[in-house]
Amino acid sequence: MIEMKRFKDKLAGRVRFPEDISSKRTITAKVIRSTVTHGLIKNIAIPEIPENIEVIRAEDIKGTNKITVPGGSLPLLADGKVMYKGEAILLVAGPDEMELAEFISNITIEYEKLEELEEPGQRKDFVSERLIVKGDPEGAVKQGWQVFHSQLETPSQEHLSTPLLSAYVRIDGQKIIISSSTQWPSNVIQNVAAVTGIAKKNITVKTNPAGKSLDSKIWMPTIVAAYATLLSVKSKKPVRLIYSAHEDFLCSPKRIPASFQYKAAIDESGKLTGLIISILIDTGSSKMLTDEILDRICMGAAGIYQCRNIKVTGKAYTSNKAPMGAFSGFGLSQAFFASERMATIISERLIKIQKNEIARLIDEAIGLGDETKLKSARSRTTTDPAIWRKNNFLIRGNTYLSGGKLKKTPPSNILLDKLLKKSDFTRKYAAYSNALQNNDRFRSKPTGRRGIGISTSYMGSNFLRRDRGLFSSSVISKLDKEGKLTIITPTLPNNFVLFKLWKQIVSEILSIEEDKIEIVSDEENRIPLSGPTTLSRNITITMRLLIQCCEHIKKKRFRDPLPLEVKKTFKFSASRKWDTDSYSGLPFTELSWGACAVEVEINEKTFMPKIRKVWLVLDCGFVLNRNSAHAEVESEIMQAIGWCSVEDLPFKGNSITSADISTYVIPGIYEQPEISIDFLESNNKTAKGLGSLVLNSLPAAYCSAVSQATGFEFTSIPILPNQVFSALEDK
Amino acid sequence: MNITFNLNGKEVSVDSRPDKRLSALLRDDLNLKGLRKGCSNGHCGNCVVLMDDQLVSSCIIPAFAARHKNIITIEGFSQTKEFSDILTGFKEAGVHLCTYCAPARVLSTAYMLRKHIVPTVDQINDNISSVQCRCSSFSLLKQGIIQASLQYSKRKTNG
Repeated sequence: MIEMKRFKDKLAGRVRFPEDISSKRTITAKVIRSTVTHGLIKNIAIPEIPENIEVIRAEDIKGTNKITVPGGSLPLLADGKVMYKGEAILLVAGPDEMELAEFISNITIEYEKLEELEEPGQRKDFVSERLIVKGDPEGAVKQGWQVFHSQLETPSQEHLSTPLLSAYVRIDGQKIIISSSTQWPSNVIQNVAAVTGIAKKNITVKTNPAGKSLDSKIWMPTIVAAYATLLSVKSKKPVRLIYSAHEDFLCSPKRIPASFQYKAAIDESGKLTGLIISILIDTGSSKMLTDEILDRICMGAAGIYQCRNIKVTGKAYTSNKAPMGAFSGFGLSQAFFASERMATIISERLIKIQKNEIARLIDEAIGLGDETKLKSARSRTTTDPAIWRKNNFLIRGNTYLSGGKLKKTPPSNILLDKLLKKSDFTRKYAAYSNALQNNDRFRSKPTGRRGIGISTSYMGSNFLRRDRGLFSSSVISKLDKEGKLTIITPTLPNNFVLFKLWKQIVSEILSIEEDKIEIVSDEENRIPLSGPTTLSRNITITMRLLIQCCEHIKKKRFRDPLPLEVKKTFKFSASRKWDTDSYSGLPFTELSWGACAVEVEINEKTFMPKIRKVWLVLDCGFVLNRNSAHAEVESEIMQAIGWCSVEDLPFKGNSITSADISTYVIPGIYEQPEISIDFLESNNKTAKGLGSLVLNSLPAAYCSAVSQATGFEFTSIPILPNQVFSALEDK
Repeated sequence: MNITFNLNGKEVSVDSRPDKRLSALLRDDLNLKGLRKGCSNGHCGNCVVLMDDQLVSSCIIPAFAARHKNIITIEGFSQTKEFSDILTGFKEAGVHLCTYCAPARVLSTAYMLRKHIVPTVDQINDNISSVQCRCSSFSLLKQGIIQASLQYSKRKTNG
């Protein structure tokens, strides 16, 4: 009944966001932003300030003028220097929007423009660097039978998801009450306290739904809340701050773009013997969660293949773009695009070598008139991207890039076998290769350019960085005398099904009716330190703590007097050693695995690659709710298709040329391909993370499929029709 | 300027500036917050309302254009039997929507069902395209709309 009411409220528009909250005393806040990309603020001319309007400059901030996350920070208001177009300079608020707009129009800011920061090639001032060496990669590359080079790139991506960024702040006596659609209430409290000087215990965050969380805005709501709180404290009135869609597009974090240079050495059997990878990522104007993202990119770039000799150099540089964000995958999506595309490139270049060798042997046998040799040469086969992968997959006993030994063989082989069968990859791959070869040989107009690509990947839940501000989490459960159970979690899941499932689990463990169970987010600051709700932490941490709490209460409920209260806090397993600084040990606490195949056909008139079908085989442990899991996967497929086919951020240098969502195309229902999803529940007891698995798998498979269809080796996404046209024309 | 119109079945009269958009009038002056703010340029479809039985993006409609019109927002629509049809249909199909776009999806579905009791696939696809949000699974949404259409036609047939 309660769930039906929640669903009805959602559909009837009764659920509120900060932008919906108001009162007669509420004043509206606006942010005045930089119009230049890089410059010094020479003068801010503010007209006489009317009594009912509040203005806050950087120098008016009593506490620290910055927002921090573990390992990074960014200025709250630009103080003398602006680093990107759209950076906040002034805060204003007033009761009448028209009057406020009039006041704002009379504010002038003079800048001395500065040259934009240099391209990374010329830079030495990297904000984050990683060097991981395993074995002797330089020696292995020198001695490699074949060495393949490639440069791969992934672009930025806009979050483009509702609701708009907003915050509503009111003061109730000593208390500051913040309404925010945040995934990280603890970060909001810490930063608002630091910015305003108000004690943390006097700050309450009421969390509103966050819409589809794509992880690009993990810390962004903190900034909005801090602005609104500063104005509320100054004016002593409730303040509402809502970013416009234009503002949101201009200055909210995008997916970090990355470029990868690979040198891959193989021996004559096709086994990977050496890998040297250089990675560059653009963090935008400030380093925010960059260390975590860079660590994940480095780990993912090394792929899921056996290789004794690997060197990964990862560098993050700042630019005059708005600060970049984590986005789904937290860097693994970029990394797996590169490593999986590289795996296909290696196998396809190897196929060419093998074909040339076969042709040479045939010629030689014909020249000698040796029938046996001819027969032997003709019976030789080549590898294919699936065979190459299967020969090189990591198995039990191999070591990760970080040196940690794999205790179990990953399920990549099983996933790939199932994927090959479902998608008929081997036959199709050979058929499309032959069709393309024949078209080229006979210069005939192809009847249909098709290609198929595969990729395999994993997703690591929870954070790699051992920073308490990131990984911490607690759950409190209270059973009162009337038998009512209250569970306090850091945040509530946006996913209605997961919320319902939590209740069902609790009800089952304690035999309490669901209407006597209340699950609430921590609005009383009972859990002072908690990381953001991301990286499947709701499944892999919060849900497990919730179960532990209930099991504990179950043991005590008939032994100890009521009320009972139990608090469970997340701790890393002592048996899994991981050292972030030296990058050694077993990095991820838990991995989910995925394999993807994508089949495309090039439209000969529009030059648009059309996806004929997507196959996914996923292993995320026990699937809690198949319907919900399918919905999650399908929605992520569309996001991944957008990233690798149509989403193109309009950057000119460091500036976004059009911050208008109507010009930013995302795929819709007409672009949705036929989809086949299989869940391989290798562990049928424990549920693991599902999020980001598709984004880590699909792009490389798509790029390989388009490359096969066009006969051109694409190494970056998005692949736009003009690039397909050029590729075909070049042929 | 004064604007009189029928809002969710009741006559209302409000003073509005000439440059005000219908979405601002409904949200800010009449406190109808089920209508989302969205992109403010008519693109995302989160602010849709029914105006004389037509589905319109209220963020690009001047408030004065509502004069003498019948406006139905999600607040009004959620009191109807049609809403119950859609609610049941979406629930049965297990539709997952984010809290933000859900009201707009309901209103756009209602608009389509009023025009086509048994919609074609193309009509359903067009309907889904009218609201832009990354949250939904299109397949489930399609099933939800079909289920809603079944509920709707069953009720219409039974009178």
